[in-house]
Amino acid sequence: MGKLLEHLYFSHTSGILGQLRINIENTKEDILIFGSSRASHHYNSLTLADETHLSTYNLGQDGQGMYMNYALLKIILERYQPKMIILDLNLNEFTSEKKRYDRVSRLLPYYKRYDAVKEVVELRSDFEKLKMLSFIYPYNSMLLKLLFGRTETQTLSYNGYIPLTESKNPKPETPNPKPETRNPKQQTDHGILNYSVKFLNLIKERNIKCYVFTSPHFTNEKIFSRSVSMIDSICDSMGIKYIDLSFTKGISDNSEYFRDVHHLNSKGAEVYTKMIAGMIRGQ
Amino acid sequence: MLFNSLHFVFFFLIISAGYFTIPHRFRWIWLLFASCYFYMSFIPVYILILGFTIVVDYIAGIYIERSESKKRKLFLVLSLAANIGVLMFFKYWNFLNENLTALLHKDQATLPYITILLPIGLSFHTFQAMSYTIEVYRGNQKAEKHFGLYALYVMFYPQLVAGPIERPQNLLHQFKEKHEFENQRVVDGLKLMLWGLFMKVVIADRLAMYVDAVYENSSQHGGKTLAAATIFFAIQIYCDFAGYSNIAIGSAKVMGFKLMTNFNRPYFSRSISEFWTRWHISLSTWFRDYLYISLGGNRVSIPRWYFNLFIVFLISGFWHGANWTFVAWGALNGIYLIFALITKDWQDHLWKNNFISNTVQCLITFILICLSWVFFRADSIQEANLIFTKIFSFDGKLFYDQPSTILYCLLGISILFFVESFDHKHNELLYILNKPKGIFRQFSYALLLVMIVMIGVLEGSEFIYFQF
Repeated sequence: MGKLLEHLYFSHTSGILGQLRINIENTKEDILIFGSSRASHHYNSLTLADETHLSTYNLGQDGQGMYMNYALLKIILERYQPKMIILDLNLNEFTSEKKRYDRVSRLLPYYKRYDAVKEVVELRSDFEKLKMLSFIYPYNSMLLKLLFGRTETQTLSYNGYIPLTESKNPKPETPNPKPETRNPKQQTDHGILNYSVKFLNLIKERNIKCYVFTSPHFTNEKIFSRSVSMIDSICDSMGIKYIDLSFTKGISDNSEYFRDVHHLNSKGAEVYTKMIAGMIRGQ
Repeated sequence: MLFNSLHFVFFFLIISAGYFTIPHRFRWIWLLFASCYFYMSFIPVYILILGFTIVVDYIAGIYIERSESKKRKLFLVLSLAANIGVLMFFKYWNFLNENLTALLHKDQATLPYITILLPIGLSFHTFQAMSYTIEVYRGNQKAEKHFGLYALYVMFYPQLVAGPIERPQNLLHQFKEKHEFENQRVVDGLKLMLWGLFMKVVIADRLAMYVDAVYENSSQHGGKTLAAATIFFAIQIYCDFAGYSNIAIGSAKVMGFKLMTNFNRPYFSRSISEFWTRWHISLSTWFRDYLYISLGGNRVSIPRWYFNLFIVFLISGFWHGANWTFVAWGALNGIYLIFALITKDWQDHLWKNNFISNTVQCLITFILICLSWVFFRADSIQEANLIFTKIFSFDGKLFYDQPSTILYCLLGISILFFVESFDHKHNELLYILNKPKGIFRQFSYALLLVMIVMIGVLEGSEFIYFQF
């Protein structure tokens, strides 16, 4: 049964499973964008390619964090060296949250293929090695996607960039992100912090040009974030450019550019991508 | 250590194998050691709290048995005060403090806040310990002179943190009996554990994804979504808690211990009173035996009878947690029950004993119970009121993040309904797993196991009732 699931998984060339496979095995673009759903919805790969004249691929995925970013980058660097890497960080990137470890589960099918995946998957629990003895476990909760996931094709059309058009969720009532990003008492996850440094070190070692951004939120004021100050000092010490754009006048205060408080819609993404392309060109 | 973790699987295998390997006279030491390890795997230092109540109740039991009349009562009261005192301090101190502060219209807290976490399973083992001293006082149970065996009665790992809340008459003597390895009993225990795990990781934890997403943003969702989330929560909490109970009962059964049944297909109940004979049976009977009957039960005037019922449900609600939502949940169930009693003659006349009538009664009971779960799941009375308002308006679109979430939820619920329908029809637990012979039986076990690995939520989430 495990073999059948493996065959089904690796025969996917489209949909969410196919996208991860492409991210890992096929990317060859000059600019790679890493990050969570905010990265995947905020950076229009085609616009950025037009503006910078460099081919661009967006590797951002819903719920993805630094562990996934690190594993992806390490695998990709074994294949080729991109010219530029853009990392989008969330305002609560380093706050402690169990979900971040659970989300690494997307990489389980690659556990036996790549050491980088093995490294981050084993961070989940002491028993992960043992669980991986099962041939079915790597495909846990993927059954419906394995059977019907091929129909999800939109993610491939725009080099990984997923535009948000229609509003599935209710409109934001207040122009501020969730209050937890304001809570100074929230604990820091030193594991994520450590992997952020490892991620940036990989880039530094290879002399790859790198930009770290925090893209806009729907807000009318600057938001307190310890993660921002942490990444700011890390990037500073490593000589990497970090720009906090979470509150960008003209974007952050314009409801027409947002699908919800955390995500720009395609219109907002277009404006934002052009803005950062200008920054990159200006360097 | 959670029942749905690999840590527990290894623990269970080692403890069960060790139990049958070592001589009978040393088994209590083995089980006590295992139970201490199990409890200390959460927050080690809290074993001291447990140790305190064990010592107090052990001594109280002996003195209650030795004493006469008033002195006997005094030792019982001292024991109950110690147990309730510990419970009140750790579980209700901050709640009482907050309400006192609000009542006195003060800006700052009247008393200092305690910032330590609630010891896991405190309400469960406190109630189990109290049942011992009460039964000794009533003369139904001899005081246990063997300290180790008494400690094991309170700490027996399968039911230590979330029940079933045992009675000394049922459990204590079992520690003295020699249990041989019986293949059929071990298989039955493992089967129960497998089904319990399925209920937890395939059904409850999957439903929790949807329920949490909706209830954590209840103001953002419409009536249809909130109604769906409430129905899902009803199934989630059942599968979570009954799943836990099945693993507890099954793991004890493997070693030859018979724990009391805690759930008996509650959503097949045709009335609220029937529901309460099928839901969390060990707690319902605890309240019946030690509170309801002590208040006079139904051998009093009708208004007093109703009052007794209401007060029992109110306290039962408060037992679940230090929040007015739990009190409201208990009160609503009390009101349901009193209303059912008042309208009993009319209902007897209305409902016939046929399939349609029974199904309608089951549905009405389920809906009423679902409505009461709103209080149980909401964070505050205000939030519960908002949810009720939205549910009854039944507006908005049905929210679903990914179609697969809903499909997995519906698949789990369908399997649960399928299995329990057969159990209900044949009045036999896990009938569908017991009925097939030979290879088909093995196939059904394998299918459950594969489904757990394939579609279960294997992130080791906590059981809801751990917080109580």
